[in-house]
Amino acid sequence: MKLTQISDKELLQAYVHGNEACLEMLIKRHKRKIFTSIYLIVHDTYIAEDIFQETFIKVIQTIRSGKYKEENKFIPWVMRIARNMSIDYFRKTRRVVMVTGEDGEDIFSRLEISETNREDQMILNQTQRTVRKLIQTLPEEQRTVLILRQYADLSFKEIAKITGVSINTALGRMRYALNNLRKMILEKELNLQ
Amino acid sequence: MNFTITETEVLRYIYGETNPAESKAIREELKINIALKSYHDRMMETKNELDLFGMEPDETSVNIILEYSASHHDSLEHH
Repeated sequence: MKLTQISDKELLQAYVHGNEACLEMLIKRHKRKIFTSIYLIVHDTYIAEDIFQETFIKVIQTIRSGKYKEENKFIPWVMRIARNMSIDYFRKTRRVVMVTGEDGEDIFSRLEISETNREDQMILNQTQRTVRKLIQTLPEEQRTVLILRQYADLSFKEIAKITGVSINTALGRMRYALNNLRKMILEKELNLQ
Repeated sequence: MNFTITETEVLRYIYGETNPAESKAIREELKINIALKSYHDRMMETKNELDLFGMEPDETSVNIILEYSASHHDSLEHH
C-alpha cells in the first residue's frame, strides 16, 4: 500500500515503531494548514517557521516520551500545540496589549492583526494578499472563529470551548464571517479562481 | 430523521461536522429546498475561495524537524 493511502492514525503508529518516512508523510499532508494557521496569528513568516518547527519538535518529544494518547485526534492535537505556541509568542514578546475578559483572560484579544512586513508581502501572491486583507476586515469575533475553523481545523465545539461561548454562538459568528466575506468578494468583483 | 435543517446545519455539514444520519437528511433537503441549496452553494464557493489562501513552511523547516526526529530515533525505541 502506498503511504498516501494510509490514514493518519496508521502513519502515526508506524512512526512510533520507527518508520521515519511516516512522519515526513504526516508533515507533508498537513503542513499547509498548520503553517497557515500559525502565520495568521503571528503574521511573520520567520516567526511562523520557528513556531512550526517547535510545534513538531514538541510533537516528537511527546510521542517518544509515551505521553501521547489521542490516537484518533492527531491533527487537532498538533493544531492545539501550534496555536498555543503562537499565543505564547505574544505573551513573551508582549507585542499586543492584554485585555482581560469576563473569565479573566481573553486570549484572542491578543490576536491583533499587524501589518505584514515587506518581505512577506513579496512572498504572498496577489490572491493570497486579497484573501488575507478580506479576512482582516472582519470583526475580531468573526475572524477568530473563521481562522480556527477554516485554517486551524478545530471543530465548532472546540472553538466554543476555547472562546467561552456556546456552539450556536460560534456557528453564528462563522455564518456572519462567511456571509460578510462573500459580500466583500462580490462587491469587489474579485475573481479569485 | 426528525431534525430541523437550517443554514446552521448546512454550515456544520459543509465543515464535515454532521453525523451520517444528519448528512443524509441534509442532502435530501438540499434536493428540494432551493433557498437552502443556494445558501449551500454560496458558502461552499466562499469556503473554497478561502482555501486558496494557504502558506507552506520552507523546506528547510521540514528538514530540521525530520533531522531532529532521526537524530533522536534511539529514544523512541526505548519506550
